[in-house]
Amino acid sequence: MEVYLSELLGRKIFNKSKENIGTLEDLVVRELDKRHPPISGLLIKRGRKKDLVYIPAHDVDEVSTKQMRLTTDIVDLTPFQRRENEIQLVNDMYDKQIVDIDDRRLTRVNDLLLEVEKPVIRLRGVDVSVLGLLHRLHIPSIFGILKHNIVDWEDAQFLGGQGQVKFNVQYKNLESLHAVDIARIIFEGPGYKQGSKVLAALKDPIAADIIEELSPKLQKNLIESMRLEDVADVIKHMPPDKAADLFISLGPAYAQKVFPLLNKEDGQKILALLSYPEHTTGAYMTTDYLAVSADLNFEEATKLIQDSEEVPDFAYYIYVLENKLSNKLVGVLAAHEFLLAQRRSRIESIMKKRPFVAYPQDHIKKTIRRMYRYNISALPVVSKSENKLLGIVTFRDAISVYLPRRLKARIRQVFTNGFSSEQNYG
Amino acid sequence: MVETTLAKIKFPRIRRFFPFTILAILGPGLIATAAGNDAGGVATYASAGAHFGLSILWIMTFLTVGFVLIQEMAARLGAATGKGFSDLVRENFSLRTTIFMMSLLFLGNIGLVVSEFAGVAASLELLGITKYISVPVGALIIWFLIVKGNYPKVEKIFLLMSGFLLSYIFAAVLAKPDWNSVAVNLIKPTISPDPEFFLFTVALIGTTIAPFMQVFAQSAVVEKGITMSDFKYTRLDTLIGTLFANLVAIFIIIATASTLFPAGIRIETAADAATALVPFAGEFARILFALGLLGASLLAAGVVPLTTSFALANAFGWEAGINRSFEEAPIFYAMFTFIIVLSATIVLSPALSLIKLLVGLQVVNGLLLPVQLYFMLKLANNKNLMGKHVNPVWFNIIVIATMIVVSIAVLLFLGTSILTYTQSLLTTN
Repeated sequence: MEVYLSELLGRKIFNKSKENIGTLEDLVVRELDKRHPPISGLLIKRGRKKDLVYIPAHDVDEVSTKQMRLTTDIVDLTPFQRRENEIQLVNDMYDKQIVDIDDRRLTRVNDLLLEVEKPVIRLRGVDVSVLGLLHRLHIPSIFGILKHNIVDWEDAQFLGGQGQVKFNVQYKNLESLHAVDIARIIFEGPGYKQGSKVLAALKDPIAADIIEELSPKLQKNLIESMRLEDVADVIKHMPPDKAADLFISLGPAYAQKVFPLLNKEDGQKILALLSYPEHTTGAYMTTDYLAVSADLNFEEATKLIQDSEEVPDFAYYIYVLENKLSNKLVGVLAAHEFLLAQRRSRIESIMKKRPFVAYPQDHIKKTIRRMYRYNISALPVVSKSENKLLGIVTFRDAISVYLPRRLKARIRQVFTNGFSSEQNYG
Repeated sequence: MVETTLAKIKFPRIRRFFPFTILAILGPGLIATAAGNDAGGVATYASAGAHFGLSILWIMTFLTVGFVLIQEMAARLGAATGKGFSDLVRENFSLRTTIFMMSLLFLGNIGLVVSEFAGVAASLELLGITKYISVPVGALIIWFLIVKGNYPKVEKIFLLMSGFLLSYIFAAVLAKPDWNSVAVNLIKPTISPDPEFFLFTVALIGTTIAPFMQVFAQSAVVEKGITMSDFKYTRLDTLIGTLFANLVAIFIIIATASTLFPAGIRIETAADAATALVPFAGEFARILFALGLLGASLLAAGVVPLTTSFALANAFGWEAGINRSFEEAPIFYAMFTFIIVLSATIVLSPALSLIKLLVGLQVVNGLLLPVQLYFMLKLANNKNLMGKHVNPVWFNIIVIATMIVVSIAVLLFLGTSILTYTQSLLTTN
């Protein structure tokens, strides 16, 4: 049987011998990360005294809008003390923001839907409708035009409260969204402070992905409030070009503090990217790419790619180097060509020789024209003298030169879209 | 080694970025207060000056102190919590209280939008365009600009246009007021026996410390991602913005107090308000005033419905934002469309003196202010929310004092209006 929490609140509760022992004030949940979390107990207000009394759910006999009865006469009358990880539905969840994962948006808890299935009561979902609001206020709906809108608890993400009580919220549901959406949701709605709290609780690579998506200003604020070791950890999970962008928004003084904490190789890569002047192709380059040496065959190359720790964000082209030791670019293989290759065929024989390249000193607009003309989504960037592969520049990164600076970070702030100059995303 | 390499790197992007950060920070305060000296503001200040002369100036001094602190408190609420006013109300007060506060805000802001359209009507009437054309066209233009997302671009034009109202500063100086008397009246409280005194006091309160402006300032701070670590710039911006806005207001009063008041002209129409500019602009006074008023009105006519719809949508968890489509955020679109259409319709109802309407609507905001201040104070003193950034004691004392004085003025106004109303009933019998 389904029932709304608001319909139960304030109702009288009777014990086994049918004596009124108080009114229902709140419900307590411990395992919020369950699919439909069971209610662990009831909080009851007794008489004129404000003290709340806790009644474990297994003592509850009947819960409905008609009657609320316990199976026992023995009630522990010590005032309720909240323990860690106990969440009170009314106190902590009513009126707070939750994420509707399906619709990728923030909304508010107007009411909660419970499912009573003897002997357990479960939290089924969140009512986010206007009707839910009216329900809470005990105002009858007009002509029944309004409908309940329930977000199943499975598809909802509670963001935690602002209060002093600690409870660990699992962000499993939230983590299933794209980093861009997570960034938008947690920093747009609940605000910077709560957003950072959520971010800190997310798993590592996701946190790094999200930080990449933030506006330089938010990045700066956020990073400066983190411990240096954590910052280094986040940067480790970022591709070098994003890390370089981050250092630019952080400024040289902060960069000097973080650099010693990075491993040497990463640090060198980032430094190298930072040293290219603005508007050159080098400044838009990433060193995150797939490369194999020409003397391998298809099978060996596949194995090499499979064994690599992380596949780059952009992996449509596989770049072919002369051999393991030299970084000299000799060819390129598009993913679709690679997939169609025979198992035994040598890379050298299937690759496209003399690929189109860009030089790090080229103006980025020249590189964009080149990519556009030849219909290539990324160009390898090589040194002019030795033809050594330094990195690649993707079309997506390159066209950001045409975007106003403030749009380079993709997080959109709501209000911005209303008023100030930061508009027009098309 | 890293240090030396880093030192060589020029960090090109950040250097170019720097002057813009200052400009970006010095923004919300200026827009919020520019929107404050809107149609209602100009009408109220001009009328008050014409009606009471310089003797009303002390109220502005009192209001400036309160205004600076209250705007700072709003911005600080935003920076410390990262949340808008309506979010904070919903999360920290009961649902009933939230609905009560939001309804008041909604009504007060509708009043504000009505006054903006009255400003559009009044300014274009000066240029010979009837309000039956100017208001529907104005409403339509505003609506389209918002929906098409072009509002931010055009906003700057409106802001520039409203800059024409700065000519009141020159007009005030050219009218050669008695500066000694100005100085004295700025600090010497005078309570006039005039029955309209309390009406004007409440209207001055309502338009100077318009409740809308606190909501806007807080949202702007939140949206810019400003935190307490860089709050000092915002504090400066708030201070400059509020002082500047009130300085302009004071000059408007001085201008009308030195031109219209001695001549015994009460402001009945926009043309009367424009005559105060004659010492400065001569025959162009009307055009200058019309353009300034039009810009200020259009600026606020877009900002207020948007901010209001936004605040309400956030409080109730509805999707909001111009970047959302109509299907995604139907309530949001419906709300600001409703506000614009309703306000324009009210202005079109005949037999209303636009200037009187403008002043009267400021009274609505004056009535709303103490309620909103109460909630803001509660929030800004909540340690859970604000941490160490709660209001200092002296701050609370001044703001609470302001709130009490405002409440007394509101009560006196309500008292006197009921009294005169019953008297008029008795005399007609």
